[in-house]
Amino acid sequence: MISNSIPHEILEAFNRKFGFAILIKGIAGTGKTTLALELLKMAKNPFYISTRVSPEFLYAQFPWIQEFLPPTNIYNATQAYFPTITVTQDKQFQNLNYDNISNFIEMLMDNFQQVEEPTIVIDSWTAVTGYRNLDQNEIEKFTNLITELIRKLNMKLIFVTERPEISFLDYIADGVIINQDLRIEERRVRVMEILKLRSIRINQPAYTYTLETGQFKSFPAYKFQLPSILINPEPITDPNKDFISMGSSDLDGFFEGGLKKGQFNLLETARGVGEGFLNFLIPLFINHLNLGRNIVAILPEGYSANNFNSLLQNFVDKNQFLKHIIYFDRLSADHKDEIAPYIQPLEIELESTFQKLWTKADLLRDRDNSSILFYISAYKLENMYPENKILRALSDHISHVKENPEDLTLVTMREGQSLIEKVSHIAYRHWKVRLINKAVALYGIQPETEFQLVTSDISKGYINLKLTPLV
Amino acid sequence: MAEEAKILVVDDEPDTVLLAKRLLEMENFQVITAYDGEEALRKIYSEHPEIVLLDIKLPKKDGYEVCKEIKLNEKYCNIIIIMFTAKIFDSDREKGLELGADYYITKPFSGKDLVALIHEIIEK
Repeated sequence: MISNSIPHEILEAFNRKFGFAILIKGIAGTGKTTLALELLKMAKNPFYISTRVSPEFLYAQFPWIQEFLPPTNIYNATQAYFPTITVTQDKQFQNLNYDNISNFIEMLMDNFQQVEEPTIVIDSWTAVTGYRNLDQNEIEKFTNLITELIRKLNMKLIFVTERPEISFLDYIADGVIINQDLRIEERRVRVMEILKLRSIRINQPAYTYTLETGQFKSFPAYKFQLPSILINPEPITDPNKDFISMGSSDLDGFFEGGLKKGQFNLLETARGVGEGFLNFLIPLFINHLNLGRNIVAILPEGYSANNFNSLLQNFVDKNQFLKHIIYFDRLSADHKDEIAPYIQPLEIELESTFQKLWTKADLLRDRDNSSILFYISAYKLENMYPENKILRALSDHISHVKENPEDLTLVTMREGQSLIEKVSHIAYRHWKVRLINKAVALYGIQPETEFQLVTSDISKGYINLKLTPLV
Repeated sequence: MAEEAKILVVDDEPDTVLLAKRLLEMENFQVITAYDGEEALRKIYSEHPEIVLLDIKLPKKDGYEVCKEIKLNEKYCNIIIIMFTAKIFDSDREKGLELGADYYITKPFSGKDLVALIHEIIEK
């Protein structure tokens, strides 16, 4: 089984060569069926027993399953609820008629014990056990029997149940997964928790997932990664005359056209995001430079001009890009005379630093007649200058940028910085990046948006940021 | 060596193989691929590439073993081997060169630099 959508712990369980029973539970609307179908997609011989909805409805709701799940592999067991439903003439769904659980298990064996490594979804086990008001002892007896049988017959069985509470099946199933629909900062978050996977090491017990386009997709722990072979990407042109592209079509879409010219934008990063902000910064810088534009940057803490150059140089014109970028960094007095012309020291007085920043920007603008992207790490400033001076300098900077309406500013701040509230008030847009179960999520604070999960496609030799709505 | 030289790209990361293939084909090289050490040796013996772009960390047989086997074989020892890896220790580079690798590059590397290196090898 190979999948980019399912956590590797669950794939490991399904790749084992012996019988296995897994329980997927969660309240209505949490994507239990979608997950079960995603697992079936990777099975050698997939079967689906539907007790709640008709097979026709299943195909209508999940058209993508027709590629791997033919009608003959879908068992219509809805007769208990919908006795009048008949099988359509053009699709040959199987009917599974049963009067009681014992009968149901017998039919399961009759139909699947001759099949090589079958994977069967029973959706839902609650419906199978519930429709004749069986007592608890009887349900437990049959649950035990069915799990014993699937191990003996080397079947993989996926039980789906709407009951999130702990039941007898939780104890005897080899794996238990619960899908949840939660709220973080008043925004929807879907979380899949792996409560149990017998004999599999669970490295990450909870994953964020989305049901975008009717399919299940979980997101692994974020890792900043460069491609092995670095390719200079084709620049993305600005979506329209008022905006500057962020270097990713998905980001441009989410940011309503990119970064607005003449404006001041704030990107806040939460604890744990670490190098995650580089996913936003690097494509923006590369695209800006590849369009022949200029950047004036107050570098983030922990990054020198050399660090940044090594990140950028293989994605831009190596011989030209240093003419289009000026870094402001903390430099010791001993080294001020030896530094490269594209590096400027952060002065003792913040006002002097900003004066110099604007002067350098004016020179670049006059030389190339192109827009300037100002990048300012406010975290670096907060480590060097008093808060009131930073706020004053940023306010003055906003006025300066408005005088040059082709320019724009991106400020990054870390969650918890004391100035965030005040800077947010003066920013045109305020976005935030945070981790949710180790996946990177981007969302708007001003204007408010839902979460977008961030992944980085490096298959083409450069960072192509992708956003997936968390729905 | 002909300008349209045949190059074998060996890496267990499909993205890297596809990227290198696309990049080298754009330069009109013939590109063949392998995803583990054993497949690499099979392709070398059956397809006779002039240059092998060889990752070190490979399933079944690692890049060192592949390099050693080729360089000890009189019939194939003239094949140019460019080893590449994410490993950064000098000892890895030294080991690769001791086993007969002709060039050694560290991931990540620039696509432009790789193409330039291959043109340089061919011109030699």
